[in-house]
Amino acid sequence: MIDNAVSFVNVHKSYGATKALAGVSFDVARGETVALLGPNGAGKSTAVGIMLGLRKADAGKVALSGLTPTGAVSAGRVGAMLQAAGLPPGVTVNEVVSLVRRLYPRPVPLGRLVDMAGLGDFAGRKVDGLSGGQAQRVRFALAVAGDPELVFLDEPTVGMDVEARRAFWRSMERLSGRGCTVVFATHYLEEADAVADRVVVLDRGKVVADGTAASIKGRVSSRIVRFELPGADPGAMMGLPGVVDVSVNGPRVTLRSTESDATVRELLGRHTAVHNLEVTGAGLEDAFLALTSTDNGR
Amino acid sequence: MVAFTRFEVVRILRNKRYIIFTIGLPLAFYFIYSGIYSKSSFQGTSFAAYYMVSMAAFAGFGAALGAGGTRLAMERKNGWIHQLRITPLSATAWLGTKLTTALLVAVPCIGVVLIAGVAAHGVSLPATRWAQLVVSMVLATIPFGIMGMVVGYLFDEESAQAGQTIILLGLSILGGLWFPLSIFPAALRDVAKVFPSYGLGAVGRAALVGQGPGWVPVIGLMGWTVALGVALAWLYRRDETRAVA
Repeated sequence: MIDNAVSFVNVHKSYGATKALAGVSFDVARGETVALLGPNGAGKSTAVGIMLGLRKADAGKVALSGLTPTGAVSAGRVGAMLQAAGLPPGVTVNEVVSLVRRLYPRPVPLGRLVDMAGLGDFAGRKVDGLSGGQAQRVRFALAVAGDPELVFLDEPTVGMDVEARRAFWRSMERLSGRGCTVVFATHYLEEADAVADRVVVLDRGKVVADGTAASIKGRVSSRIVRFELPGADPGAMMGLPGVVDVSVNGPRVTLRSTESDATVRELLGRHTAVHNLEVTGAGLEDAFLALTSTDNGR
Repeated sequence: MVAFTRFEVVRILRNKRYIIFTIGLPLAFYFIYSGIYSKSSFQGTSFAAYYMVSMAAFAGFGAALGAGGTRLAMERKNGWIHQLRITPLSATAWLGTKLTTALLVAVPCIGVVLIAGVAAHGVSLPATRWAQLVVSMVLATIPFGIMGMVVGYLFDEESAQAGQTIILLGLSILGGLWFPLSIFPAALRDVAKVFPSYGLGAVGRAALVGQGPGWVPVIGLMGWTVALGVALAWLYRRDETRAVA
Protein backbone atom coordinates (compact mmCIF):
# COMPACT_ATOMS: atom_id res chain seq x y z
CA MET A 1 0.00 0.00 0.00
CA ILE A 2 1.27 3.46 -0.84
CA ASP A 3 1.30 5.78 2.13
CA ASN A 4 -0.82 8.87 2.00
CA ALA A 5 1.03 12.17 1.60
CA VAL A 6 -0.53 13.27 4.86
CA SER A 7 -2.21 11.16 7.49
CA PHE A 8 -3.75 12.91 10.46
CA VAL A 9 -5.39 10.55 12.94
CA ASN A 10 -7.38 11.78 15.92
CA VAL A 11 -5.02 14.66 16.67
CA HIS A 12 -5.51 16.69 19.82
CA LYS A 13 -3.74 19.90 20.76
CA SER A 14 -4.44 22.34 23.56
CA TYR A 15 -2.84 25.60 24.60
CA GLY A 16 -3.54 25.80 28.30
CA ALA A 17 -7.31 25.65 28.62
CA THR A 18 -7.90 26.39 24.93
CA LYS A 19 -8.48 23.35 22.76
CA ALA A 20 -7.03 24.16 19.33
CA LEU A 21 -7.60 20.69 17.85
CA ALA A 22 -10.12 18.32 19.39
CA GLY A 23 -9.66 15.00 17.62
CA VAL A 24 -8.96 15.96 14.02
CA SER A 25 -8.60 13.22 11.39
CA PHE A 26 -8.11 13.50 7.64
CA ASP A 27 -5.91 12.08 4.93
CA VAL A 28 -4.38 13.68 1.87
CA ALA A 29 -3.62 11.37 -1.04
CA ARG A 30 -0.49 11.88 -3.11
CA GLY A 31 -0.91 14.54 -5.76
CA GLU A 32 -4.07 15.89 -4.22
CA THR A 33 -4.65 19.59 -3.54
CA VAL A 34 -6.55 20.04 -0.30
CA ALA A 35 -7.82 23.23 1.29
CA LEU A 36 -8.11 23.53 5.06
CA LEU A 37 -10.95 25.96 5.34
CA GLY A 38 -12.16 27.57 8.50
CA PRO A 39 -12.75 30.83 10.30
CA ASN A 40 -9.93 32.43 12.31
CA GLY A 41 -9.16 30.32 15.36
CA ALA A 42 -10.55 27.15 13.79
CA GLY A 43 -7.20 25.36 14.22
CA LYS A 44 -5.87 25.57 10.65
CA SER A 45 -2.46 27.02 11.53
CA THR A 46 -2.09 24.66 14.46
CA ALA A 47 -2.75 21.72 12.14
CA VAL A 48 -0.16 23.00 9.64
CA GLY A 49 2.37 23.56 12.44
CA ILE A 50 1.89 19.98 13.66
CA MET A 51 2.20 18.57 10.14
CA LEU A 52 5.57 20.34 9.84
CA GLY A 53 6.84 19.15 13.20
CA LEU A 54 6.98 22.72 14.52
CA ARG A 55 4.50 21.76 17.21
CA LYS A 56 3.86 18.50 18.97
CA ALA A 57 0.39 17.05 19.13
CA ASP A 58 -0.85 16.18 22.63
CA ALA A 59 -2.36 12.98 21.26
CA GLY A 60 -2.97 11.30 17.93
CA LYS A 61 -0.82 10.23 14.99
CA VAL A 62 0.64 12.33 12.21
CA ALA A 63 2.61 10.95 9.27
CA LEU A 64 3.90 12.47 6.02
CA SER A 65 4.45 9.80 3.37
CA GLY A 66 4.88 7.31 6.19
CA LEU A 67 7.56 9.43 7.93
CA THR A 68 7.37 11.56 11.04
CA PRO A 69 6.94 15.27 10.27
CA THR A 70 10.50 16.13 11.37
CA GLY A 71 11.85 13.15 9.42
CA ALA A 72 10.12 14.30 6.25
CA VAL A 73 11.32 17.88 6.75
CA SER A 74 14.96 16.91 7.30
CA ALA A 75 14.84 14.63 4.25
CA GLY A 76 13.90 17.70 2.22
CA ARG A 77 10.61 16.20 1.05
CA VAL A 78 8.45 18.99 2.43
CA GLY A 79 8.28 22.71 1.74
CA ALA A 80 6.17 25.29 3.48
CA MET A 81 5.06 28.85 3.40
CA LEU A 82 4.18 29.92 6.92
CA GLN A 83 2.53 33.07 8.17
CA ALA A 84 5.14 33.38 10.90
CA ALA A 85 8.13 32.90 8.59
CA GLY A 86 10.12 35.93 7.48
CA LEU A 87 13.07 36.84 5.31
CA PRO A 88 16.54 37.77 6.60
CA PRO A 89 17.26 41.49 6.32
CA GLY A 90 20.21 42.79 4.30
CA VAL A 91 20.27 40.33 1.38
CA THR A 92 18.84 40.27 -2.13
CA VAL A 93 15.99 38.02 -3.25
CA ASN A 94 18.47 36.07 -5.37
CA GLU A 95 20.81 35.51 -2.44
CA VAL A 96 18.18 34.17 -0.06
CA VAL A 97 16.57 31.96 -2.70
CA SER A 98 19.98 30.58 -3.73
CA LEU A 99 20.88 29.87 -0.13
CA VAL A 100 17.66 27.99 0.65
CA ARG A 101 18.04 25.95 -2.55
CA ARG A 102 21.43 24.77 -1.32
CA LEU A 103 19.93 23.42 1.88
CA TYR A 104 18.02 20.77 -0.10
CA PRO A 105 19.45 17.64 -1.67
CA ARG A 106 17.69 18.00 -5.06
CA PRO A 107 16.73 21.64 -5.60
CA VAL A 108 14.80 23.14 -8.50
CA PRO A 109 17.22 24.88 -10.93
CA LEU A 110 17.45 28.56 -9.99
CA GLY A 111 16.17 29.87 -13.31
CA ARG A 112 13.08 27.68 -13.20
CA LEU A 113 12.45 28.59 -9.58
CA VAL A 114 12.57 32.31 -10.37
CA ASP A 115 10.08 31.62 -13.18
CA MET A 116 7.77 29.46 -11.10
CA ALA A 117 7.45 32.06 -8.36
CA GLY A 118 7.47 35.07 -10.71
CA LEU A 119 10.50 36.72 -9.09
CA GLY A 120 12.07 37.95 -12.34
CA ASP A 121 11.26 41.63 -11.85
CA PHE A 122 12.80 41.97 -8.44
CA ALA A 123 15.31 39.13 -8.05
CA GLY A 124 18.16 41.61 -7.61
CA ARG A 125 16.44 43.76 -5.01
CA LYS A 126 17.05 43.69 -1.27
CA VAL A 127 14.36 41.76 0.58
CA ASP A 128 13.90 44.65 3.03
CA GLY A 129 12.17 46.84 0.43
CA LEU A 130 9.70 44.37 -1.08
CA SER A 131 5.95 44.90 -1.15
CA GLY A 132 3.78 42.44 0.75
CA GLY A 133 2.82 40.57 -2.42
CA GLN A 134 6.44 40.35 -3.60
CA ALA A 135 7.55 39.02 -0.21
CA GLN A 136 4.82 36.37 -0.43
CA ARG A 137 6.18 35.29 -3.82
CA VAL A 138 9.68 35.01 -2.37
CA ARG A 139 8.32 32.87 0.47
CA PHE A 140 6.54 30.73 -2.10
CA ALA A 141 9.88 30.31 -3.91
CA LEU A 142 11.49 29.23 -0.63
CA ALA A 143 8.68 26.72 -0.06
CA VAL A 144 9.22 25.02 -3.41
CA ALA A 145 13.00 25.55 -3.74
CA GLY A 146 13.79 21.97 -2.74
CA ASP A 147 11.41 20.45 -5.30
CA PRO A 148 9.32 18.97 -2.45
CA GLU A 149 6.71 16.28 -2.97
CA LEU A 150 4.48 17.96 -0.39
CA VAL A 151 3.91 21.68 0.12
CA PHE A 152 2.06 23.42 2.93
CA LEU A 153 0.83 26.93 2.37
CA ASP A 154 -0.63 28.73 5.37
CA GLU A 155 -2.94 31.54 4.22
CA PRO A 156 -0.73 32.07 1.15
CA THR A 157 -2.68 34.91 -0.44
CA VAL A 158 -3.51 36.91 2.65
CA GLY A 159 -2.99 40.61 1.94
CA MET A 160 -2.83 40.15 -1.85
CA ASP A 161 -5.07 42.06 -4.23
CA VAL A 162 -7.44 40.17 -6.53
CA GLU A 163 -5.06 40.09 -9.48
CA ALA A 164 -2.08 38.90 -7.42
CA ARG A 165 -4.29 36.29 -5.79
CA ARG A 166 -5.38 34.85 -9.12
CA ALA A 167 -1.79 34.82 -10.35
CA PHE A 168 -0.84 32.96 -7.21
CA TRP A 169 -3.56 30.38 -7.79
CA ARG A 170 -2.04 29.69 -11.18
CA SER A 171 1.32 29.04 -9.50
CA MET A 172 -0.41 26.61 -7.15
CA GLU A 173 -2.06 24.85 -10.07
CA ARG A 174 1.27 24.51 -11.87
CA LEU A 175 2.74 23.02 -8.73
CA SER A 176 0.01 20.41 -8.51
CA GLY A 177 0.39 19.85 -12.26
CA ARG A 178 3.93 18.71 -11.52
CA GLY A 179 2.55 16.02 -9.22
CA CYS A 180 3.18 17.89 -5.99
CA THR A 181 0.74 17.38 -3.12
CA VAL A 182 -0.50 20.75 -1.90
CA VAL A 183 -2.20 21.44 1.43
CA PHE A 184 -3.22 25.02 2.02
CA ALA A 185 -5.04 26.76 4.81
CA THR A 186 -7.32 29.59 3.89
CA HIS A 187 -10.34 31.50 4.97
CA TYR A 188 -11.09 32.61 1.42
CA LEU A 189 -13.88 30.36 0.20
CA GLU A 190 -13.30 31.38 -3.39
CA GLU A 191 -9.73 30.17 -3.08
CA ALA A 192 -10.74 26.76 -1.79
CA ASP A 193 -13.40 26.48 -4.49
CA ALA A 194 -11.06 27.52 -7.30
CA VAL A 195 -7.92 25.58 -6.45
CA ALA A 196 -8.66 22.59 -4.21
CA ASP A 197 -9.61 19.06 -5.25
CA ARG A 198 -11.00 18.62 -1.78
CA VAL A 199 -11.96 20.85 1.09
CA VAL A 200 -11.62 20.00 4.77
CA VAL A 201 -13.68 22.42 6.81
CA LEU A 202 -12.45 23.00 10.36
CA ASP A 203 -14.39 24.77 13.04
CA ARG A 204 -13.31 25.10 16.66
CA GLY A 205 -10.77 22.35 16.34
CA LYS A 206 -13.05 19.82 14.68
CA VAL A 207 -13.54 18.64 11.11
CA VAL A 208 -17.11 19.63 10.26
CA ALA A 209 -16.99 18.66 6.57
CA ASP A 210 -14.58 16.83 4.27
CA GLY A 211 -15.23 16.44 0.55
CA THR A 212 -15.17 18.20 -2.79
CA ALA A 213 -16.36 21.79 -2.87
CA ALA A 214 -19.41 20.59 -4.83
CA SER A 215 -20.33 17.94 -2.28
CA ILE A 216 -20.00 20.41 0.55
CA LYS A 217 -22.22 22.88 -1.26
CA GLY A 218 -24.71 20.02 -1.80
CA ARG A 219 -24.90 19.33 1.91
CA VAL A 220 -26.70 22.59 2.37
CA SER A 221 -30.29 22.36 1.31
CA SER A 222 -30.99 26.09 1.16
CA ARG A 223 -31.16 28.00 -2.10
CA ILE A 224 -30.73 31.63 -2.95
CA VAL A 225 -33.66 33.61 -4.40
CA ARG A 226 -32.71 36.95 -5.96
CA PHE A 227 -35.04 39.49 -7.53
CA GLU A 228 -35.79 43.19 -7.77
CA LEU A 229 -38.71 44.75 -5.95
CA PRO A 230 -38.78 48.50 -5.31
CA GLY A 231 -39.67 49.33 -1.72
CA ALA A 232 -39.38 45.76 -0.46
CA ASP A 233 -40.06 45.39 3.27
CA PRO A 234 -37.53 43.03 4.92
CA GLY A 235 -40.07 42.02 7.58
CA ALA A 236 -42.57 40.93 4.95
CA MET A 237 -39.84 39.03 3.08
CA MET A 238 -38.85 37.15 6.26
CA GLY A 239 -42.50 36.13 6.57
CA LEU A 240 -42.42 34.20 3.28
CA PRO A 241 -42.37 30.40 3.68
CA GLY A 242 -38.93 28.79 4.04
CA VAL A 243 -36.99 32.06 4.23
CA VAL A 244 -34.12 31.97 6.74
CA ASP A 245 -32.19 35.07 5.72
CA VAL A 246 -33.07 38.36 4.03
CA SER A 247 -30.92 41.10 2.61
CA VAL A 248 -32.33 44.19 0.90
CA ASN A 249 -30.08 46.52 -1.06
CA GLY A 250 -32.12 49.25 -2.77
CA PRO A 251 -34.52 47.46 -5.06
CA ARG A 252 -32.42 44.26 -5.01
CA VAL A 253 -33.50 41.56 -2.59
CA THR A 254 -31.64 38.36 -1.74
CA LEU A 255 -33.37 35.62 0.21
CA ARG A 256 -31.97 32.37 1.50
CA SER A 257 -34.67 29.75 1.66
CA THR A 258 -34.90 26.12 2.66
CA GLU A 259 -38.07 25.70 0.50
CA SER A 260 -37.41 27.86 -2.51
CA ASP A 261 -40.39 26.59 -4.54
CA ALA A 262 -42.85 27.61 -1.85
CA THR A 263 -41.03 30.89 -1.33
CA VAL A 264 -41.24 31.83 -4.99
CA ARG A 265 -44.91 30.79 -5.34
CA GLU A 266 -45.92 32.94 -2.39
CA LEU A 267 -43.67 35.81 -3.41
CA LEU A 268 -45.13 36.09 -6.90
CA GLY A 269 -48.64 35.76 -5.55
CA ARG A 270 -48.18 38.64 -3.11
CA HIS A 271 -45.93 40.98 -5.08
CA THR A 272 -46.72 41.43 -8.76
CA ALA A 273 -43.93 44.04 -9.15
CA VAL A 274 -41.21 41.38 -8.69
CA HIS A 275 -38.93 41.12 -11.71
CA ASN A 276 -35.53 39.66 -12.72
CA LEU A 277 -36.21 36.63 -10.50
CA GLU A 278 -33.36 34.16 -10.16
CA VAL A 279 -33.02 30.98 -8.05
CA THR A 280 -29.56 29.51 -7.53
CA GLY A 281 -28.03 26.76 -5.43
CA ALA A 282 -26.14 27.92 -2.38
CA GLY A 283 -22.48 28.79 -2.96
CA LEU A 284 -19.61 27.47 -0.90
CA GLU A 285 -19.89 30.54 1.25
CA ASP A 286 -23.47 29.73 2.20
CA ALA A 287 -22.46 26.16 2.91
CA PHE A 288 -19.58 27.40 5.00
CA LEU A 289 -21.78 29.72 7.00
CA ALA A 290 -24.27 26.93 7.57
CA LEU A 291 -21.52 24.52 8.66
CA THR A 292 -19.64 26.82 10.98
CA SER A 293 -21.36 28.66 13.75
CA THR A 294 -21.75 32.40 13.47
CA ASP A 295 -22.97 33.07 16.99
CA ASN A 296 -19.74 34.80 18.06
CA GLY A 297 -19.54 37.14 15.12
CA ARG A 298 -16.73 35.36 13.27
CA MET B 1 27.18 24.94 5.36
CA VAL B 2 30.00 26.83 3.65
CA ALA B 3 27.43 28.66 1.54
CA PHE B 4 25.36 29.45 4.60
CA THR B 5 28.38 30.74 6.53
CA ARG B 6 29.35 32.98 3.62
CA PHE B 7 25.76 34.22 3.44
CA GLU B 8 25.84 35.15 7.14
CA VAL B 9 29.27 36.80 7.02
CA VAL B 10 28.29 38.88 3.99
CA ARG B 11 25.11 40.01 5.70
CA ILE B 12 27.05 41.17 8.75
CA LEU B 13 29.82 42.91 6.85
CA ARG B 14 27.27 44.80 4.75
CA ASN B 15 25.88 46.36 7.88
CA LYS B 16 27.96 49.51 8.16
CA ARG B 17 26.68 50.50 11.57
CA TYR B 18 27.79 47.15 12.97
CA ILE B 19 31.28 47.57 11.52
CA ILE B 20 31.68 51.15 12.69
CA PHE B 21 30.56 50.44 16.25
CA THR B 22 32.49 47.21 16.61
CA ILE B 23 35.79 48.49 15.28
CA GLY B 24 35.42 52.24 15.84
CA LEU B 25 35.25 52.27 19.62
CA PRO B 26 38.27 50.00 20.25
CA LEU B 27 40.32 51.91 17.67
CA ALA B 28 39.40 55.28 19.18
CA PHE B 29 40.30 54.04 22.68
CA TYR B 30 43.53 52.61 21.38
CA PHE B 31 44.68 55.80 19.72
CA ILE B 32 43.73 57.96 22.72
CA TYR B 33 45.37 55.88 25.46
CA SER B 34 48.33 54.55 23.56
CA GLY B 35 49.00 58.13 22.44
CA ILE B 36 49.09 59.34 26.05
CA TYR B 37 51.27 56.50 27.36
CA SER B 38 53.13 55.62 24.20
CA LYS B 39 56.58 55.82 25.78
CA SER B 40 55.85 53.77 28.90
CA SER B 41 56.96 50.23 29.27
CA PHE B 42 54.40 48.08 30.99
CA GLN B 43 54.32 44.52 32.35
CA GLY B 44 57.37 43.41 30.43
CA THR B 45 56.34 45.05 27.16
CA SER B 46 55.40 48.51 25.88
CA PHE B 47 52.09 50.03 26.84
CA ALA B 48 51.36 50.39 23.13
CA ALA B 49 51.64 46.61 22.69
CA TYR B 50 49.80 45.85 25.94
CA TYR B 51 46.88 48.09 25.06
CA MET B 52 46.84 46.85 21.48
CA VAL B 53 46.01 43.39 22.85
CA SER B 54 43.41 44.81 25.23
CA MET B 55 41.62 46.67 22.46
CA ALA B 56 41.95 43.79 20.01
CA ALA B 57 40.25 41.65 22.66
CA PHE B 58 37.54 44.29 23.11
CA ALA B 59 36.97 44.42 19.34
CA GLY B 60 36.89 40.62 18.99
CA PHE B 61 34.51 40.35 21.94
CA GLY B 62 32.18 42.96 20.42
CA ALA B 63 32.26 41.38 16.97
CA ALA B 64 31.56 37.85 18.20
CA LEU B 65 28.84 39.01 20.59
CA GLY B 66 27.20 41.16 17.91
CA ALA B 67 27.14 38.33 15.38
CA GLY B 68 24.36 36.84 17.52
CA GLY B 69 22.80 39.34 19.91
CA THR B 70 20.36 41.82 18.45
CA ARG B 71 20.61 40.29 14.98
CA LEU B 72 19.51 36.89 16.25
CA ALA B 73 16.72 38.41 18.35
CA MET B 74 15.45 40.16 15.20
CA GLU B 75 15.66 36.98 13.15
CA ARG B 76 13.60 35.19 15.78
CA LYS B 77 11.05 37.99 15.79
CA ASN B 78 10.77 38.31 12.02
CA GLY B 79 10.49 34.57 11.45
CA TRP B 80 13.60 33.82 9.40
CA ILE B 81 14.49 31.22 12.03
CA HIS B 82 11.12 29.52 11.45
CA GLN B 83 11.72 29.46 7.73
CA LEU B 84 15.05 27.72 8.27
CA ARG B 85 13.48 25.22 10.63
CA ILE B 86 11.28 23.87 7.83
CA THR B 87 14.31 23.22 5.62
CA PRO B 88 16.58 20.16 5.99
CA LEU B 89 19.17 22.30 7.80
CA SER B 90 19.82 20.57 11.15
CA ALA B 91 19.95 22.37 14.47
CA THR B 92 23.64 21.49 14.84
CA ALA B 93 24.48 22.85 11.39
CA TRP B 94 22.58 26.04 12.13
CA LEU B 95 24.27 26.62 15.48
CA GLY B 96 27.65 25.67 14.00
CA THR B 97 27.18 28.18 11.20
CA LYS B 98 26.31 30.94 13.62
CA LEU B 99 29.37 30.21 15.74
CA THR B 100 31.72 29.97 12.75
CA THR B 101 30.30 33.27 11.51
CA ALA B 102 31.00 34.90 14.87
CA LEU B 103 34.65 33.79 14.73
CA LEU B 104 35.04 34.85 11.11
CA VAL B 105 33.81 38.37 11.73
CA ALA B 106 35.95 38.64 14.87
CA VAL B 107 39.13 37.99 12.84
CA PRO B 108 39.16 41.27 10.87
CA CYS B 109 38.09 43.25 13.94
CA ILE B 110 40.99 41.86 15.97
CA GLY B 111 43.27 42.33 12.94
CA VAL B 112 42.47 46.00 12.47
CA VAL B 113 43.55 46.82 16.04
CA LEU B 114 46.77 44.82 15.64
CA ILE B 115 47.52 46.68 12.43
CA ALA B 116 46.88 49.96 14.25
CA GLY B 117 49.44 48.92 16.87
CA VAL B 118 52.05 48.19 14.24
CA ALA B 119 51.28 51.25 12.13
CA ALA B 120 50.91 53.84 14.89
CA HIS B 121 53.45 52.63 17.46
CA GLY B 122 55.69 50.24 15.59
CA VAL B 123 54.75 47.28 17.81
CA SER B 124 57.00 44.50 16.63
CA LEU B 125 57.02 40.82 17.57
CA PRO B 126 58.65 37.70 16.15
CA ALA B 127 56.41 35.93 13.63
CA THR B 128 55.77 33.01 15.99
CA ARG B 129 54.45 35.35 18.66
CA TRP B 130 52.16 37.11 16.17
CA ALA B 131 50.88 33.70 15.14
CA GLN B 132 50.31 32.65 18.75
CA LEU B 133 48.63 35.99 19.44
CA VAL B 134 46.17 35.74 16.57
CA VAL B 135 45.36 32.05 16.91
CA SER B 136 44.89 32.12 20.68
CA MET B 137 42.77 35.25 20.59
CA VAL B 138 40.52 34.00 17.81
CA LEU B 139 40.00 30.68 19.63
CA ALA B 140 39.31 32.60 22.82
CA THR B 141 36.39 34.42 21.13
CA ILE B 142 34.45 31.11 20.96
CA PRO B 143 32.66 31.67 24.29
CA PHE B 144 31.73 35.19 23.17
CA GLY B 145 30.19 33.87 19.96
CA ILE B 146 28.07 31.50 22.07
CA MET B 147 27.33 34.36 24.44
CA GLY B 148 25.98 36.38 21.49
CA MET B 149 23.57 33.59 20.65
CA VAL B 150 22.51 33.28 24.28
CA VAL B 151 21.77 37.02 24.28
CA GLY B 152 19.80 36.64 21.03
CA TYR B 153 17.64 33.91 22.52
CA LEU B 154 17.36 35.42 25.99
CA PHE B 155 16.23 38.91 24.98
CA ASP B 156 13.53 40.03 22.58
CA GLU B 157 14.44 42.30 19.69
CA GLU B 158 13.74 45.46 21.69
CA SER B 159 15.78 44.70 24.77
CA ALA B 160 18.61 42.82 23.04
CA GLN B 161 20.48 45.98 22.03
CA ALA B 162 20.61 47.23 25.60
CA GLY B 163 21.46 43.78 26.97
CA GLN B 164 24.22 43.31 24.45
CA THR B 165 25.77 46.74 25.14
CA ILE B 166 25.67 46.33 28.92
CA ILE B 167 27.28 42.89 28.69
CA LEU B 168 29.97 44.12 26.30
CA LEU B 169 30.92 47.21 28.28
CA GLY B 170 30.42 45.60 31.69
CA LEU B 171 32.51 42.52 31.03
CA SER B 172 35.17 44.50 29.15
CA ILE B 173 35.67 46.77 32.15
CA LEU B 174 35.41 44.04 34.80
CA GLY B 175 37.76 41.73 32.90
CA GLY B 176 40.44 44.42 32.67
CA LEU B 177 40.26 45.18 28.96
CA TRP B 178 39.62 48.92 29.30
CA PHE B 179 41.89 49.54 32.28
CA PRO B 180 44.76 47.30 33.40
CA LEU B 181 43.91 45.03 36.33
CA SER B 182 46.94 46.43 38.16
CA ILE B 183 45.01 49.64 38.89
CA PHE B 184 42.04 47.66 40.29
CA PRO B 185 41.64 47.30 44.06
CA ALA B 186 43.21 44.01 45.19
CA ALA B 187 39.86 42.35 45.97
CA LEU B 188 38.45 43.12 42.53
CA ARG B 189 41.61 41.93 40.83
CA ASP B 190 40.93 38.31 41.77
CA VAL B 191 37.24 38.53 40.97
CA ALA B 192 38.14 39.87 37.52
CA LYS B 193 39.87 36.61 36.64
CA VAL B 194 36.51 34.85 36.72
CA PHE B 195 35.26 36.71 33.65
CA PRO B 196 35.86 35.38 30.14
CA SER B 197 36.98 38.85 29.02
CA TYR B 198 39.93 38.48 31.39
CA GLY B 199 40.85 35.19 29.72
CA LEU B 200 40.66 36.72 26.25
CA GLY B 201 43.05 39.53 27.21
CA ALA B 202 45.32 37.19 29.17
CA VAL B 203 45.95 34.74 26.33
CA GLY B 204 46.86 37.69 24.09
CA ARG B 205 49.21 39.23 26.64
CA ALA B 206 50.92 35.88 27.16
CA ALA B 207 51.70 35.75 23.45
CA LEU B 208 53.20 39.26 23.60
CA VAL B 209 55.88 38.14 26.05
CA GLY B 210 56.30 34.72 24.49
CA GLN B 211 54.76 32.69 27.31
CA GLY B 212 52.14 29.98 27.31
CA PRO B 213 48.63 31.23 28.08
CA GLY B 214 48.60 29.67 31.59
CA TRP B 215 45.92 27.55 33.21
CA VAL B 216 43.77 30.21 34.82
CA PRO B 217 42.62 31.93 31.59
CA VAL B 218 42.36 28.68 29.63
CA ILE B 219 40.25 26.92 32.23
CA GLY B 220 38.18 30.05 32.65
CA LEU B 221 37.49 30.31 28.90
CA MET B 222 36.69 26.60 28.62
CA GLY B 223 34.39 26.78 31.64
CA TRP B 224 32.50 29.71 30.11
CA THR B 225 32.27 27.90 26.78
CA VAL B 226 30.67 24.87 28.43
CA ALA B 227 28.35 26.91 30.66
CA LEU B 228 27.18 29.17 27.83
CA GLY B 229 26.83 26.15 25.53
CA VAL B 230 24.52 24.46 28.03
CA ALA B 231 22.52 27.68 28.39
CA LEU B 232 22.29 28.01 24.61
CA ALA B 233 21.09 24.43 24.16
CA TRP B 234 18.38 25.01 26.75
CA LEU B 235 17.30 28.35 25.24
CA TYR B 236 17.29 26.89 21.74
CA ARG B 237 14.97 24.07 22.81
CA ARG B 238 12.73 26.47 24.65
CA ASP B 239 12.45 28.60 21.50
CA GLU B 240 11.77 25.54 19.38
CA THR B 241 8.77 24.47 21.42
CA ARG B 242 7.20 27.91 21.33
CA ALA B 243 4.14 28.35 19.20
CA VAL B 244 5.11 29.55 15.76
CA ALA B 245 2.80 28.62 12.97
